[in-house]
Parts: sequence; C-alpha cells; structure tokens
Amino acid sequence: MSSPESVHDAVLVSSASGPALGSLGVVSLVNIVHPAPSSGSVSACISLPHPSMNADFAAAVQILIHAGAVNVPIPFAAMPVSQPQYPHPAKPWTVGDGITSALRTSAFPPLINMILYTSWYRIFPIVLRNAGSSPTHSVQRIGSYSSTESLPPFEPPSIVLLVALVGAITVARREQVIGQETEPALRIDD
Amino acid sequence: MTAVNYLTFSTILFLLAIGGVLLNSQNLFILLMSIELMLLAVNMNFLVFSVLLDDMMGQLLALFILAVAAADSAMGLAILVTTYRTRGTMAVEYATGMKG
Amino acid sequence: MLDRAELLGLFPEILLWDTTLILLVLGMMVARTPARPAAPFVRTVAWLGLHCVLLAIVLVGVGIPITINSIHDILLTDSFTHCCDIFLLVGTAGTIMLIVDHGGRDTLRAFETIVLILLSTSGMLVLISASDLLIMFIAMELQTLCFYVLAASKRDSECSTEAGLKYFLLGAFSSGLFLFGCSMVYGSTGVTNFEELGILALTRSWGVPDPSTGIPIIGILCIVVGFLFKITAVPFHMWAPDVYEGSLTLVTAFFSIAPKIAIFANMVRVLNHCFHDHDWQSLLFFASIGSMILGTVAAMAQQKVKRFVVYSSIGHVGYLCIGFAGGTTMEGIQSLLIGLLIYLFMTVNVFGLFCAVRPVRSQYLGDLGVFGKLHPLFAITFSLTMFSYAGIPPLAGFCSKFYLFFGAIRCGADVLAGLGVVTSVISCFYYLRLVKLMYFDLPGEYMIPPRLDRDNSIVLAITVACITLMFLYTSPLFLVTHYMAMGLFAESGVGFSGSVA
Repeated sequence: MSSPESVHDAVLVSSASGPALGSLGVVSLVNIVHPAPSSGSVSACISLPHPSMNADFAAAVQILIHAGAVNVPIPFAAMPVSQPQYPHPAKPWTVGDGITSALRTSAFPPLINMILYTSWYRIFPIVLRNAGSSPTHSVQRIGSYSSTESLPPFEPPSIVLLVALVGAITVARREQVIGQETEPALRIDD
Repeated sequence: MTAVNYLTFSTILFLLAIGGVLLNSQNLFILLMSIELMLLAVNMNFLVFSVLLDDMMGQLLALFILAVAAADSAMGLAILVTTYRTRGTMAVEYATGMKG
Repeated sequence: MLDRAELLGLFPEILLWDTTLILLVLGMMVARTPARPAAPFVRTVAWLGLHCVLLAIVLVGVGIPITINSIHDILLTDSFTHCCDIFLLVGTAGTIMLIVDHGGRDTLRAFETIVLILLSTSGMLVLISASDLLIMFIAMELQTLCFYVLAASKRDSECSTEAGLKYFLLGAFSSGLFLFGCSMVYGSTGVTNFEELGILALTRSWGVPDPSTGIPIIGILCIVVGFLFKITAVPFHMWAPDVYEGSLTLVTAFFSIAPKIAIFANMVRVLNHCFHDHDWQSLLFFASIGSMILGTVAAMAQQKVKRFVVYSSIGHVGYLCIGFAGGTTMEGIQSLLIGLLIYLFMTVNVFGLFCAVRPVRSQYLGDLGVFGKLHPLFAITFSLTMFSYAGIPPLAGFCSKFYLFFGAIRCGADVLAGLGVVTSVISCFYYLRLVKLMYFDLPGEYMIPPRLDRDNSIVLAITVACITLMFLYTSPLFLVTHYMAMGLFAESGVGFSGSVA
C-alpha cells in the first residue's frame, strides 16, 4: 500500500459505505425491484479495495462473476415472476423477530472486541514457500499455484459448474409431455 | 488498524446478510440475495486475511468460492422459478405447505 | 507436477466423472420424441450408472493397502478413506438398484437423476479424502448442489419444489456459516491443511502469541455447526422432515443413506486431526442428547411413513454422535463406524420396502395393515428391520447400539449412555407399534400389494441377511472398523485416549 494513511482511510470509508448501504437496502427494501440494483452495487463496490490489497485479478473476477453472472440473472428471473406490489403497511415485529435481531446485534460487540485485541501482525503462516523464482504479480502466482499445488481444488469447481448447468436445466425447463402432439416449430427438445 | 477496519466491515456485512436471511418476511428473492451477500462477506474476509498473512492461499480460496457461489445462485434461481411455476407466488409465508 | 502415484487416489472419482460425461452426451444424442418414450432409456442409464459404481468399488478395493498423500497433502487416501469409500459406493449401488425398476415403470422421466446421483457420489468421494479446508468446501458444495436438484426434481409437485426450495435455502445458509468458520480458522492460523492445523492445535494456543483471543474458537464452532446442519442433528434439523417428505421416495432414500456416511467420515477426520480436544465436544454432546430425545419423541406422533423414517434417522444420528462424545478415542470412532455401516444396511432395507410399495400410494402408517395379511415375506422383512432399529438382540441394530453405549461409558460419558438406553426403550414402543399395525390391525383401505421387482428383492435379501445373520459372524465387521480407526490414528499420531472434559 503506497498511499498515505489518511488517503487510504478515506478510500476505505468511501468504498466500504457502498456495500454497507447497498446491503442494508437489500435486506430492508420492500419492492422487489429495488434490492436488485443495490445488490449489484454491493458486488461492484466491494471490489474497489481489492487492488490495494494486491488482489487485482480477484477484483476483476469479482466484478465479472459476482456482478455479471450472479446479480444480472436475478432481475431477469424476478421480472416474469413478480406481481405488481402495492405498498402495504410494515408488519409489526413479533417476539421472534425481536429475539433474532437482538441475537444478531449482540454477536457484533464480542466479534469486534476479538478483532481489535488480536495482534494480527505477529501471525506467520507455517507453510514455507520457495523463495527462489517466485513470480510477484498476483495473476502469475495464482496461475502457478492453480496448476501445481492447488490442482485438486481447481478441477472440482469445473464439475460444480457442470452440475449447476445440468441442474438448472433439469429443474427449470418446460415439461414436454410425451405423446402430446405439438407443432414442430414449437416443440422444445430437452 | 486498517486490517481491523476491513475485518469489521466484512463482519458487519456478514451479520447483515444473516439478518436478511432470518428476518426476511417479504420475498424469496431477497433470501437468495442475502445468501449471496453472506458468501461475498466471507470472500472479503479471505482476501483481507490473505493480505495480512502475505499468503496466496487466501486469494485462491476467494476465487474458488466465487465460482461456487455463482453456481449456487444459478441453482437457486432455477429452483425459485420452478417454485413460482407450481405455486404462483413468491411470498415467503406460502412456503410452509408442509407441516414444519 | 502430478505424479502417477498421486493420481491413483483419484481414480474412482475420475471414473465417475468420465462416466457422467459420457452418459450426458448419450442422453443428448438419444433425444426424446413421442415415438420413443423416455422410460427404457432411463433404465439403461441407471444400469450403466450401477455398473460404473460397481467398477468404482473394485477400483477402491484394489488400492486398499496403499496410502497416498496427494499433491502437497491436499487429498489423503488411507485405509480409513478406502473403506468409507466402499461403504458409500455400496450404499449408492443399493439405491441405484432400487431406482432401476422405477425407471422401467415410467415414474422417473429424467435420466439426469442418475447423472446427478453419480456426480454427487463423486463429490462425496472427494469429501471423504479431503485433507484441506478448500477442497472440503468445494466437495461439499458439489454434493449439496446435486442434492438441491434431486430434491426439486419432480417439477409438477408442490411438495417436491417446496422441498427443493427449503433444502437450497437452508443448505446455502449453512454453507455460508461453514465458510465463515473456515475463514476465521484460516485468518488466525494462516494454514488450511488439516495436518498443519493439527500440529497447531496441539499447542492449544494456535500459534497466536496471546491465547486469549477467541477467533479460532469461533471458526471451529461455525465449522461444527455447519457439519451439524448437514447431518440433520438437533438443533439444526428443522429442514430435514419437510425436505425428506416432499422429495421422491427414491431421492429420500439416497438422502438418508449416502451423505451421512460421507459427512461423518469427513467430520471424524476434521475433528480428529485438526481440532483435536478443543471446544467442540460440548456442542456435539448436546447435539447428541437433543437428537436422541427429539428423534424418539417426535417419531411417536407421526402418521406418515416418510416423516416417521426421517425422525427415526435423526434419532440414529444422535446415537452415532455418541461416538464423538469422548473426544476422539479409538473405541468411539470404531463404534461410530460400526453404527454407520449397520445404519446403512437398515436404511437401504427400509427404503427398499417403501420403494416397492410406492405404486399403491401408501403414504400413511395405517396402510401397512395390508401387508401382514397379503404379503407375508414383506411383513417379515419389515418386522426384522424394525426390531433391528429398536435394538433388540440378536439383530445388528443391538450390536451397534451396544458398542456405542459401551464406548461412551468407557470414556466417562455416562449421561449419554444412560439417555441412549432410555430413548432406545422408548423407541421400541413405536417400532413395535408398526409391527403390530402390520399384523394385528385392519388397514384403512384395502389394496393389492405389488409384486417386488427382481432388483428390489435382491437388495432386500442382502440387507436382511446382513441384519439378521450378523450376530453369527461379527469378526469381519470389527476387524474392518478397527483397521479403519487404526489408519485414522496412525496418520496424525495425535489423540490416542481423550476423555470427556
């Protein structure tokens, strides 16, 4: 991190407020149309601090996959299935809601306490890496690790994506009833 | 101190997302988006720890989790579309057809 | 780079992946037209899948004496993983044999069901061999993604789609929690490998200079909570009854049989190697107590067959968690593995019986009265399985419960053993009530019981023989599980005899 402390803090605050406000919008806005762009803005803004963490590849991938492949299909799926919503008065909170929100907010101070009082700078990773000829750019390092050390974790996600493809088609395709005569132009081969 | 700020931020995001999952009473899509927010917050966690520890495994983990999260959300959307087709509504309170 | 010896550990998974790719291409080439209905093709795919699973069993069996540390210790295949792989593949083969004839009856119209079962089995095989947090998460996601689709696979049924929806939401939530735990463990230690985490755990301060921090403890607790979600232990069981009831019976059979083996095997490895003797013992203690009590009490009130089986399997998960009670001792792990294998046989048997009667649409327990009068073999098989579930000697269920309670007493968890005995006695009530319903009660409506198909009856015969005749020759079971537990402990060199904290 080459920028001075105050500029860095300003960047952090501005890039952190985007996802924080966006996620508040996602969980509390009523109309289905509004949380979708806030979720997209969360995905886009959360990759802003990544280049300062030497994770520029991760930032690019984050925008492409999270904002593109995850957030864009959600409104496309939401549009045909949602009915016009009329504003209704907010439901009063029940006891269960109160207990859940109390638990959720009470989880926050102990976590922050632990984060603040851990001396993070004195933890060293145990695994030794070869010091010689290690590439410095993050993309090169990720590539070299993916093909040598982390090859088993690299192959199964391709199967995971295949399962997502097969599964999404199996679940969401239109049923073709066998024996029903349909016009060849309208028949969907599944 | 900046490490602590990053971790605080991602923890806030994670707890907000859990709240969105548990306290949601409106729409099933918001549940799906909250689950994606959870995975996003954990991703941020991994990246921050990767920088702190100067270890590349954190970035690798974040990349693989991203791929898996995309697959998860595709599956969730497909299931939501099927639910809408059979049920006709996306409200959460109708998702209790079977005795709980 | 990759050594040939390192790839040996991945051969069964590679076989399953290649087979599923070939089956997918085959399915696309054999397009469905009105002239050619889908049913025979589904049966063909099911037979091919079954042969693939049997070949995988042979592959795993050939490699049993070899211990392989793959590729910088990310995958570990030793005797424990080989035998757990065989258990899992036997369970999968049994389930596919139950599915085969249903494909012939045109109830299963999508061949992708078989493909997804094979893919989830491959994910579970990788999960059993996992030795790193990353590959464990990816394998678990591979398995559960297939399960989401399987649960929602009957698309025109409201129950099935609701089951898929609930499974997806709660499964993804638990994956998020699990991953949060992994991130905390990674952040506080810097390593993700189980062996290195185990070395750090021995120091009890996790290598962190000030041991007052609780970040790794939060990580461990989140990881254990994620595991408890997946094995449907109390208090994280709430999704199981609805999901298991709403899915197709064949799919419920697969859900009850296969993931419990894989996730228990992975839990044993994680809790034994990485987080040995830390604070997860009390959580598993309470999960075990809660599962036993809830499984017993809730099953008494059930009227539907599938919900009854779900609650009885929750109770059994409670008994199996007793094996974790004393920390990780040899006796505890051995009794857990014995209980797991016997649970596998009993569950395959029960679902074989229910899959056989599916066409007559008997959903309620009261409909069982038909079989006592009109189908005596079915009734005898069912009664033997119910007696085994109840833990009546000399059947196999008694053997598994005896060793679980014995192991608990040996490590000092008398509360668990006593509670287990009490809940077993109470559970006898509703298991024997089913036998009474079958033999002595008049059914709600009479129906002609169907003829069992050949593959179904083969599976039922094998499992009933194992359950009833196990008391005659139990030494293979004990030898195999002892071999597995020795392989587990020989790897790490930690944790020989712990006791309840």
